[in-house]
Amino acid sequence: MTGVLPDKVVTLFRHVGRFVALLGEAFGSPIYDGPTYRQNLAREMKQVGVESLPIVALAAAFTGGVTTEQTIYQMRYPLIPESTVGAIVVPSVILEFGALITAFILAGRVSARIAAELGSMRTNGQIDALNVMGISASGYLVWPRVLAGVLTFPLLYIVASVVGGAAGFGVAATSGAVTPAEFLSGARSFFTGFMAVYGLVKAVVFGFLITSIACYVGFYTEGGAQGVGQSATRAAVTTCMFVLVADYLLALLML
Amino acid sequence: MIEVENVHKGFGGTPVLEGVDFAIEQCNLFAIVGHSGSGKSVLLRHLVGLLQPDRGHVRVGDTNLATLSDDELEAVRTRFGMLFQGGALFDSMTVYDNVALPLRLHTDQSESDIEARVMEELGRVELRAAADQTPASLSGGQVKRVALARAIVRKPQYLFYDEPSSGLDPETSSVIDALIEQLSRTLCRMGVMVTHDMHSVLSIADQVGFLHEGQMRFVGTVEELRACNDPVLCDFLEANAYQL
Repeated sequence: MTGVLPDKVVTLFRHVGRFVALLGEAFGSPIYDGPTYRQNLAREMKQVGVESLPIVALAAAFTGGVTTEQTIYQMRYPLIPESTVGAIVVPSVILEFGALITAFILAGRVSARIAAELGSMRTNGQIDALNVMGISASGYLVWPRVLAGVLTFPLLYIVASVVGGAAGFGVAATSGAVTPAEFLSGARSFFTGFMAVYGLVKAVVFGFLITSIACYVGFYTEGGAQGVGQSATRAAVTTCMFVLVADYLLALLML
Repeated sequence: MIEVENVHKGFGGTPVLEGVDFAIEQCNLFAIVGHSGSGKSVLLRHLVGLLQPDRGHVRVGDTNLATLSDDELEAVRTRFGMLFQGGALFDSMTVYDNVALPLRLHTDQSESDIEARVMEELGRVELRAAADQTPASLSGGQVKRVALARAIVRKPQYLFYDEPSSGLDPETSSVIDALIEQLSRTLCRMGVMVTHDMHSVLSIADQVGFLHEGQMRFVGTVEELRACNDPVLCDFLEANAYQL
C-alpha cells in the first residue's frame, strides 16, 4: 500500500501539471491566422453545439417528464398543494438536471469524439506534423475545442432547461393531477434569477471540463488503435467524474 | 549545416542512441539506414526538435536546438519541411487546404498568391487534379506526394523524409525518389532521409549513415558504402541485396 500510494499521487500530480501546461501552452500560443482559427472554432461549435442539440433536447424532455411524474407520485397527499409540483420540477430542471443531463450527454458524445480525434491525430503523426511546420499543435487543436465547449454549453443548457420545463409542464397538464395554472404558479413562486445564473455558471464550468479533459487525454494518447479507443473511453469516464465533483463543489460554494 | 554531436537518448532505462555523431552539408542528401529498431526514426525526431537528447547536441546552422524555448523552436522549424511516413495529412481538409495550411498560418500572402504557390507544388507532384479531393480518397503514393508538396510549399531550407518509399510499389517509389533528388540537386535543399530502401539510397543519396546499436557505425559516400570494409555493414548490405 505504502509503495503504491506515492506512485499514484505522483501520477496524479504529473497529470495535473501536464494538463495545466497544455492549457497554458494552448491559450498562450499565437493565433497564426485569424480566418483559419475562426473556421476551426465555427466547426467545433457546430459539432459540440448544433449536432448535440437533438439528443440534448430529447434527454431533457424525458428528464422533465419523469421528474414531473415522480413528483406527482410523491405528492399525492391532500394537504400538499398542487402547485408544489411546479415548484419542484422547474427549479430542479434549472438548478440541476438541465446542466447535469447535458453534461453527461456531452461527456459521452463530445469528449469521446474529441479524445478519439486528437488521439488519432497523435498516432497518425498529424500532431508532430503541425509541430514540425512550426505551428503550436496545442494552440491549433486545443483552444478552438475548449472555447467551443465554453461558448456552446450554456446555450445547450438553456435549451435543455426550457425543453425540460416545458415537458414537465406538458406531463403535468395531461396527467390530470395538477392543473396547468397550479403548475405555473408553483414554478413562478420558487423561480429566482439566481437559479438561472447558477445553472449558467455550471454550464460554463462543465463545458470547460468536458472539452479540456478530452483534449488532454486525446493529445497525449499513446499506442495505436487500441490507445485511441482507450483514450475515448477514459475521456468519457473522467469527464463524468469531474462533472460530478464540480457539481458538488459549485453547490457548496454557490447555494 | 546540421551537426549531431555525441547524442544519447534512452527510453525507460533502455538506451536507443549512444553517442551519435555526424554532420550534413547544405545541398546534400543524407540517408540514414539501419536495421529495424536501430533508432533511425528516433534520431530523425531529434533533428527536427520533436525529441531532445539526454546528452549531446543537435545544431541546425548555428542554433543548438536543445537550448531553444518553444517559441524559438517554432521559429527555427519554419525552415523545416518534413515528409512523414504515413503522410500525416489532415483528414478533415482537402488536398489543397492541406498544402495551403503552412502558408496560411505562417505568411501574410493573399489567397490568390497562396493558390498560385499551392498549385505550383501540386503540379510538381503531378496532383493538381486532386486539389479538391480529401486524403481518404487518395492512394498511398498520392498521399505521400501531397505530403511532399506540403513539406516543400514554404521552400524550407531543410527537408526531412521518414521512410518516403515505404509501402509503395517500385514505380511510385521511383517517382518519390525523383522528386526528392530534384529538391536536393536543383533547389539545393539539405535533405535527411530515413529509409530501408537501399535502392533509393544508392540512387539518390550523397552521403549515407549506417546506424547500428545506437551508434553511427559508418558515415560516408555511396561509393564508400559500396566498398564496404565493415563486416556488420557488409552483412546489412547483403541482407538488403534483393533491393539492388
